Amino acid sequence: MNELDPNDKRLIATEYFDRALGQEELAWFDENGLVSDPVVKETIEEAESLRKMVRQAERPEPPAAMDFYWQRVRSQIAGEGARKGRGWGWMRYRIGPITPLRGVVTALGLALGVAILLPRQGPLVPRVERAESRQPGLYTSIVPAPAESAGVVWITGLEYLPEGYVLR
Amino acid sequence: MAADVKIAVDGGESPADRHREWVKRAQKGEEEAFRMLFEEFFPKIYGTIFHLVGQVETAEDLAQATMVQAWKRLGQFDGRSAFGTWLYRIGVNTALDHLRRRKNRPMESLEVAAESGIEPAVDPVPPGTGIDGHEMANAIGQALQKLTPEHRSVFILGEIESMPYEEIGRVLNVKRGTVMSRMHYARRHLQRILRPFYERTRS
Repeated sequence: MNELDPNDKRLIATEYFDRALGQEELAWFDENGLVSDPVVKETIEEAESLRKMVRQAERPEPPAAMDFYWQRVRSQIAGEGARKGRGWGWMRYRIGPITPLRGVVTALGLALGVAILLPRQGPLVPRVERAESRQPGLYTSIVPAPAESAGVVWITGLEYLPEGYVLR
Repeated sequence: MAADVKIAVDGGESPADRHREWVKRAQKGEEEAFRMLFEEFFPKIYGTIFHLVGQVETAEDLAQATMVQAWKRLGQFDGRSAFGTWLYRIGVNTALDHLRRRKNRPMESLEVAAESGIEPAVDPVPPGTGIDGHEMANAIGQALQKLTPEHRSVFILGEIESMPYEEIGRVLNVKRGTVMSRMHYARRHLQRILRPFYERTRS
């Protein structure tokens, strides 16, 4: 398999060494005589030496006082449980799990409630004082304008006044 | 992985069956069942984390944090993977997060190195000196710390914990091809660092 790049050969040799090749790959590896390829051989030998060294090395001692660590884990677990008990977890048992549908319905309900309860803040409609006159069709409206500290006097129906009529 | 061998021993239930049973009981809130899982897995998780972080006390704290996390997330474990694989995923990620934080604090990492006795280079062994298991472990420990956490974790899970590529991929959430290439480069790097040592073991 001379057409394979040496780096590719090393990668395949790594998989072969770690028994990670599938049946077909293994057959292909054998058929092409890769076991005797110098690059593959060297990679396998080096990996074997390293593995031998790792296996000869002492393993780290597991913590001697297992019970000490168990007690520490246990107290943290218990602390966690107590925190959950004080939190909002109880709500779940009352309202059940919060699904997306429930969330949307709840949000819409809240929005509707707020809309109903909020005081109406529409455009300010001034209170109009209206005075009728003895002349039919003629009347006077006074529109207050508090911002201007003034009022607007609006006279409607002047066209109904007889000729020569004087406004006072 | 050794922790989840499926062969029944002495005609009884397999370790994997036993773990499933304990997990089920622990999920119902039975503390004693979780204690059994703790006793089974804590030493293994500690060993892996120790190789990853290179410090006894940190490894103990992180192994402990792993078990607390496992308890908190026990409800999320759906049994699709072995409990050991799931637990290793929590443990390795906890250790990798710690290493990332340590990397972002260079002063602390220097202090930590000084405290733990990790030297900037692997201590040379004088020619003609025999190497015992303890020295070998020190040399490997020092060399492992020179790998990136990603390469180190693949090497530890594969070469020390004897996990197959597929399981390493599940623990680290990476593809099989990534496991293979990381394993290859981790070995190459370690071979360069440890050459003087393992050539002695050859002869």
